[in-house]
Amino acid sequence: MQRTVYTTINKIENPALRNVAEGLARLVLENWLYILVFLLLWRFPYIVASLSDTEVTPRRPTGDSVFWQSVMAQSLLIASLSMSYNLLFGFSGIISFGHALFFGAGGYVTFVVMSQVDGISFYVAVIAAVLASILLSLVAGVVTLRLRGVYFTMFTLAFAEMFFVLAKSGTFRNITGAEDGLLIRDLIPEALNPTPTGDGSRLVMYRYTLIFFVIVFLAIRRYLNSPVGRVMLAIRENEERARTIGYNTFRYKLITMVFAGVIACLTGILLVLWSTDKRIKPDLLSLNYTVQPLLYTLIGGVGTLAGPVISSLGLELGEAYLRDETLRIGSATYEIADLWDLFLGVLFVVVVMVLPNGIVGTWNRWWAERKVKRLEASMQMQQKPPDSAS
Amino acid sequence: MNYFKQLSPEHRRSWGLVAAYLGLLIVISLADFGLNTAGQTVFRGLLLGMLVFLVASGLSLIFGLLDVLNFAQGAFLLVGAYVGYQVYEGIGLGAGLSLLAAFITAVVVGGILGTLVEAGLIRPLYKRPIFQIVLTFGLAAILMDLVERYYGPDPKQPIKPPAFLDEKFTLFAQSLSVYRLFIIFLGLAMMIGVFILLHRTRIGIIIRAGVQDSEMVQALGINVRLVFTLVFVLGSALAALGGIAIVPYQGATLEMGNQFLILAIVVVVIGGMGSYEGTAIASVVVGLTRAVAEQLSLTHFNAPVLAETSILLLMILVLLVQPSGLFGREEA
Amino acid sequence: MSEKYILEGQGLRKEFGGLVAVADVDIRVRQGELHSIIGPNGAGKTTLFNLLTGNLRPTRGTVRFRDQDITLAPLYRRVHLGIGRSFQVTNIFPNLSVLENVRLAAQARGGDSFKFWWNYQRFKKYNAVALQAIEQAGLHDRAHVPAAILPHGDKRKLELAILLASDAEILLLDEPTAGMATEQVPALIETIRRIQQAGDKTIMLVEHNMNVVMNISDRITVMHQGEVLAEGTPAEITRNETVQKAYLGELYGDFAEIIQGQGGVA
Ligand SMILES: Nc1ncnc2c1ncn2[C@@H]1O[C@H](COP(=O)(O)OP(=O)(O)O)[C@@H](O)[C@H]1O
Ligand SMILES: [Mg+2]
Repeated sequence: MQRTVYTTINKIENPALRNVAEGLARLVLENWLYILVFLLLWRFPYIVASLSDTEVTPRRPTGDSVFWQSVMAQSLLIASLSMSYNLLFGFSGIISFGHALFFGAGGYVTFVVMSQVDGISFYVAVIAAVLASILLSLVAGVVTLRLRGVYFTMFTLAFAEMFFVLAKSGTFRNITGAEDGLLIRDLIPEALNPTPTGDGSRLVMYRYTLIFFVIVFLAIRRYLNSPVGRVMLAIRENEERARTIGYNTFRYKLITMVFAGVIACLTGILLVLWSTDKRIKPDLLSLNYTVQPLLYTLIGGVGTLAGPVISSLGLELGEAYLRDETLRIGSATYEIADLWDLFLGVLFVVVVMVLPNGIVGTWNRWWAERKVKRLEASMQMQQKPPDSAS
Repeated sequence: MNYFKQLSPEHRRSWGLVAAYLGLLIVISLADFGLNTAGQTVFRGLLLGMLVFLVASGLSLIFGLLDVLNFAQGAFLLVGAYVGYQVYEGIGLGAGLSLLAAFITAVVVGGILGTLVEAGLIRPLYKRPIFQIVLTFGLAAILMDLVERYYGPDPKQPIKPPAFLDEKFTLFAQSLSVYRLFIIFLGLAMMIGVFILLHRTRIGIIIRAGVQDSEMVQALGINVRLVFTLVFVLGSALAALGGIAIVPYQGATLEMGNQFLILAIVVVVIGGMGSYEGTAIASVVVGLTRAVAEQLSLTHFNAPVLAETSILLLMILVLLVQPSGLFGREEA
Repeated sequence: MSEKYILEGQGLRKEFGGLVAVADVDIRVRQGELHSIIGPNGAGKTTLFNLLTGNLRPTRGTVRFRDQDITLAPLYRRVHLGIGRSFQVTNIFPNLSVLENVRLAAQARGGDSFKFWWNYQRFKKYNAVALQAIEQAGLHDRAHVPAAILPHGDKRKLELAILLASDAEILLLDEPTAGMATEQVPALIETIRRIQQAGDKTIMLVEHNMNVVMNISDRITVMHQGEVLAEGTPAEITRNETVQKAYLGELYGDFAEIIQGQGGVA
């Protein structure tokens, strides 16, 4: 199939045209699976609508299609968050337990700025939030990246916790709303409010979210395939060696932390827009949003591109699907929604113990091992003089 | 005073720093709050320090010997507190016996939990240290979830200690329950007890040697694995003990686990991973810092947030000055 | 003032706890020479290399590169000044391919490493440099093999290739032939010699094979228990009585023969 396409292209006489055609063919042939998934996600509201016989843009926000638009959008955001976590944990070997800080900072800075500065536009506030997250990761990075592994990990946890404490603190009640959080219903720009469904706002917002997810995916993929990404790979493999061939590894790790932080920040903003109660709450800065991406990264496959996406979407959608079901064990019945966290916890332990490479990682490893075996076999063939076999 | 002669110059400097810092805190308190309030503040600081020590010493010992960063210490504390609370409420043997039973059960449950975790989950991951960290982190989340599920989200009221611990005494013109004194003594007793264990017993010598170089100890034909388990169990039992010790004083809340975990982390980072003396000293430093900051913010700024973040700022400061903590081993 | 010394260590000392691994060593390497360090295991040769390249901080003493004090310069900066090294114990990126191992070394010396918005394949020059280094080291048919599965001898070649791709002015080679099959050694040594003679490269070499050392070195430093026992041309070293008595005679049994064999040449 591939070969026929390329031979056909090679028959094109005009060299410029041939190059374009070849590029296009490569793009499609190497990414057809991703493109297919994207198209499916794009049509997802309609697919659900036709399966459940509901409207995509009903006047009242009820029905399966609008429900699943919201679920899918939030799952895509959690997937983005997991990808950003995996960028640190999986591809760079940086174990940060403070990722929630950047995630929560997104929502907090954006809307605190909006509520404090009269007439400031949402987009300016978003820029402020991104700048804040860059600053935070720079501060955290400069203080900590030189530390030995465990000190780094402990520090990130404590550093993030400090902001969680700040957000809950009564001292800033009139700014952050302390434990109750801050109502942001009136601050969300109309164009980005997914709540009204009748005018198609939710559908549009769903598409924005999907596009955001795609951009994050592509950006991370490009980052990993860039010179910086290759250096990060080297650092994960053998940091001292990377320094000995001339890399200031500290800087690369810092850049990566900033990059992951910015993604988490933007994800956080979008997720707040999707929240049903339209509030920013200290919970956004809690350990939850570190544990969750860590969990999904592990389950999907540490250091794989698709792994965190698959596990995030699978588990988030699964939870939403099973939320109202009950489980009967003997005479007792349990709500699935109640058991879900426990289920995730057990899954987590099981994966750590028996499937350390996660779903995608295990699959990849299996493939790689086959390839290595073949290579080794061919190398032995070369070394053995052909006539020495007796 | 042989101890001081053996110290490396860095550690001697650290001692100097600590002494100067504690002196400064006390002078500030005296000058600012007057004798009585200063006394009360220092007392509160010591109390907190001793509680934190119980969690932190486990964290530090476990890391020192096993190289495992046990993020589940906070969860062990939580389990100790709630299980102890339940025993106290359920047993109905009068305050004294019930409290004793609560303490014993908490410690035993903490120990059993520690055994299960070490043998069942940590040990198989010995070759994959990163996953050990990740596992304890996830485990903490699970345990806390289970506690919430079983005991409900509402805070538990402080339980009543027996009469002789509930009596009042006056210190710096403040009437306090003897129970607080008891906590301080408990903390000190554990501090000294573990110190004696480490320095005066055979197993302690093995543990300390293991902290220095666990392969070496293994090479001597000692069953290091068993020692590992013992230390892990000791660590979790101490955390659970800390948990139940808090209950008569402050009650039990779900947040307690993370709160004390963070405090313990700060203590261990400041004191230096794997250094028992460091952990002990840093506990006092952190406790006092917190108490003085609380008092300062109360009298001057009316901003509790200052108190809440003070120790984290302290930690950042220490790390900037001494990246491996005050009494940590220096790594090449 | 130094006469064209490219790399100098003055009073270099490194202590590990109580152990003095390098004891107040002075060493000077001239531009363009092949300077060998010899001495028994544990003499402190590797530690001396680590001090010169910045993998370790000296307890005392200074390191100078082209009259510039680099004692406190971090490891990676020294690479950009032109100091490169290989390791005695193979030290590579095991899960990356041979080509990628070497390409990363080439990329490090260019100015494109921070360009996170381009695909790394865009920078073809590093690929070219890497392939050339791989060729030079004699690994051309292994470029796409993961480094971890290379046989030991090829790993040693990979060490060399990584160093070559770094395009250093002074190359510190720590026992490049360690553990290699004997029949592969001459080719590798030949490569090293060619590199030195082709460009204006300076080479520092730790090597145990006396034959090799005596043949290709311009100067030799003899280390023993962290100290420099003697320094000079191969002929001077062979004639040096301290070296002979104190150390060479007993440790390298075959050394006496070499001395006799080369007797007249000076
Ligand atoms: N990182 C280290 N920590 C402790 N001792 C070391 C370290 N590196 C080397 N040594 C010691 O320093 C001495 C010199 O070692 P080395 O420089 O490797 O010698 P050589 O390369 O000449 O064989 C040896 O006794 C060795 O054990
Ligand atoms: Mg050596």
